[in-house]
Amino acid sequence: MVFSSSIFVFLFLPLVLLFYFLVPKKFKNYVLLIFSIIFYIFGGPKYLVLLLCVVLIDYIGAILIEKTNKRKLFLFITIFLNIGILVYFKYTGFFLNNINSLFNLDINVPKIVLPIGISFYTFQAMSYVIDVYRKKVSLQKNFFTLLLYVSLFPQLVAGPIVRYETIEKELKSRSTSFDDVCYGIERFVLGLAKKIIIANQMGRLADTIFASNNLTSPIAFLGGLAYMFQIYFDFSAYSDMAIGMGRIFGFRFLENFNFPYVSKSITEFWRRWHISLSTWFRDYVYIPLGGNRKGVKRQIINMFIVWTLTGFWHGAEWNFILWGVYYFLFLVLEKYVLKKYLDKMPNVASHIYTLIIVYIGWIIFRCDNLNDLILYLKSLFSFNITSISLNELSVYIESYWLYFILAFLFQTPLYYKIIDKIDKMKNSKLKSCLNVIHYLGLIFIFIVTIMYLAYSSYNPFIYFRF
Amino acid sequence: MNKCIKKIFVIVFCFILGFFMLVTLSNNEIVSEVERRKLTTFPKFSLSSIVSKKYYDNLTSAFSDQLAFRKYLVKGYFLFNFQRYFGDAVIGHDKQLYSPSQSVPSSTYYKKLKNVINLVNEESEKIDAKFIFLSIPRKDAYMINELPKNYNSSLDIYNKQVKVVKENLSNDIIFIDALDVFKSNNIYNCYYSNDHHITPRCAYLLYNEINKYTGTFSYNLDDEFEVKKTIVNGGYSRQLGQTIKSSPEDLYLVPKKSINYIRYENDKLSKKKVFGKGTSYEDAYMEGDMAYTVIDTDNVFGKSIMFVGSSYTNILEALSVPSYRKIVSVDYRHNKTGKSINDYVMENNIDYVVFVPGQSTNAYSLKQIELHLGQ
Repeated sequence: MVFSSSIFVFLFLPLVLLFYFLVPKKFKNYVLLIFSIIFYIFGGPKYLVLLLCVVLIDYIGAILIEKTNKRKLFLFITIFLNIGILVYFKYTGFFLNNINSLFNLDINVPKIVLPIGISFYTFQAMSYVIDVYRKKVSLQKNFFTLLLYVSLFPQLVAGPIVRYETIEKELKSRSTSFDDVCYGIERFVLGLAKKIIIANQMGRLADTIFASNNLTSPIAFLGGLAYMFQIYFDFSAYSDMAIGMGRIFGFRFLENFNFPYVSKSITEFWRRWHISLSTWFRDYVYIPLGGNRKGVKRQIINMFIVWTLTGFWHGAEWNFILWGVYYFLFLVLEKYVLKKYLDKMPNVASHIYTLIIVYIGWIIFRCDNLNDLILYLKSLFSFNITSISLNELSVYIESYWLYFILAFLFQTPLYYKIIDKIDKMKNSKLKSCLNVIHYLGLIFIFIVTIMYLAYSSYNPFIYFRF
Repeated sequence: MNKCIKKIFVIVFCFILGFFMLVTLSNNEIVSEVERRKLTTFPKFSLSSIVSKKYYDNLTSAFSDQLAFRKYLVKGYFLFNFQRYFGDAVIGHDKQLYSPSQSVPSSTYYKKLKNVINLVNEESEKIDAKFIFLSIPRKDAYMINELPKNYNSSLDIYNKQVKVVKENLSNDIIFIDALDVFKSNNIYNCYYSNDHHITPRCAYLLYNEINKYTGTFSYNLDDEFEVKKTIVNGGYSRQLGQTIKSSPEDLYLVPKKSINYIRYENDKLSKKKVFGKGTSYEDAYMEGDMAYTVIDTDNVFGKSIMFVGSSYTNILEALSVPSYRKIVSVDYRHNKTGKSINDYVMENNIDYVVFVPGQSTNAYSLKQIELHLGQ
């Protein structure tokens, strides 16, 4: 089940809200747990067993770490099992295919279906065990509470990767104020709209262009731009909805995206993009490896390891590894060479520099194989601009201008700045008036989003009698 | 005041959720007249269904199909996108009607397409006749100058599909891409303005192309037939109640000299006409779609040809009558005899099989290809 489906918005969500707010406080966690399991079952009932196994491993692992003297050994075993499960389900095909082609072998590659959310929940579970080992968090003795932490449906399948320490207290006791509910609904509505109206439309355009064989520069550029917006609005929308729903239930998840496209360097970009993942790798891989404490050479090696893993985490394909290494190169360059120039550059120039690097990064991310990537980059930089291509470009722009405008506007903090200004207003009449417009606007956006949602199931069958 | 506004907002949001949930759950529509397809209804719950992923998939699909006020919401979507909404037709420039734009297939689609093409290969291997795969694009992949606003041509998707088909189709099968044929003959208006079928002049180009492979002599269209123009009552305009009036277009064929043939429908002698006179596509050729048609001509030295497909083959069957000894048509949408393509090839001693996969919302609908293989 995905958040942007009718069944989630109009069946699952109202039911979970209804039960959650009806039951007494002591049963609220059970309501969330039951609904989280139902949510996960929609992705394939058999994978629920895997989820339970992962939680059980981490539950027992944490107890053994806490209660025995062999803390390191049990930490190692637990992490090994978690990574083993992730590697088996996500990377077996990749490794075997590469071994086959490298050594000209014919090893049978099993068809392993990737369980939904495995990359997210194994990372969450591992963070809990490591933090227990580090004594940053206390042991969770109740298995069901730990299961709820890992399986909590708002962040189960697409993050953010919520650390146990972030919601440790809230798992025990939490309250939801009316303002929390209102804020949560607003975040959810905006997230849903970002996903369905902007990301899906941008995706439609990007898919069309990336599927083309003979691209001219303007069309290739537009395809890359559409994908750049698609990936941001898709992913950040999911985080918005997760954070919004979390707030409704009394959880305060940390922000996962902080308007990354306004960054003025790649370093800044990665402080704003998928924050929960980059901080996870920082705290659980980079710093334990020595971080920047063991000299420049070691730091560069550590960065290389972290960024290769970051790329690989995104998918079991070479293009993701390449994408990770690409960012490693720019981050190292910025750290040791470009930083002084970037600091002196006008904001516009450093902003453009960042966007260009990020833009090319997304093309690497999007192209499944090296051939496609080379062809796409060739088309992009061939500067082949013909009247036909400009005509084609104008056709696309005529169709998508509204979505591009929305994308440009909502990738900046403009909306939140306006809302913030309204909140700080002293003129109460004007403030109320603007608040009415604000909430009416949200209802309008929600209704338009439902229209798009309904259209996604609209599937006319032209092949009936004729 | 501000608290009150927020309260109203939360109440309205919860009301929308609750109201939609109740109305949706009480819906149980079986067919969507506008989309002309069956809707997924809520699956029956049983204990065994809990462990079946199919149950959850059906439930998800049913909830989308049964969504409250879906019809009106879809109309709203069209309105918001500055498109005029007419059921399953979208109006483009110069009164050209199109079916709604094709969605981009997922990457798994192409994998499945490969598998389906393998089925075509397997089927062709079974038969003792030359197999021709004729691919016809959707109207919006070819007539792209009049596309509606905010409408993507399916040309790129079609090209990618054709590429996959060509890469996977057996070398023994002849592949004809109608798009190439139309383009190389420089004819643009190959589709009716308010229908998704091809005009007789463009169909004639395909007939010519097929004849190149069957070694059959092609007559000149205007020597053999008078191509009559009329206002075509196309599939889309019929749904709209002729809201969009088109100019007269080439529709039906009147033979200039008498053509002798005997027609059988489902093994029974039939008096149905091959060349009709009407205003709609189904009047004009073969009198519509037939499950199984055999036409014997007096061209004793001609070849025998069998068309497997849908309404797109009707005009090709009609055009083939003056040149072939035997023309057979099998339409598996209506043909439920359980006989395979090979059974019909053997029964009729067929030399060439022309396979024309039909369209759904997709030029290459996997289900349609499988259906037309008799599976």
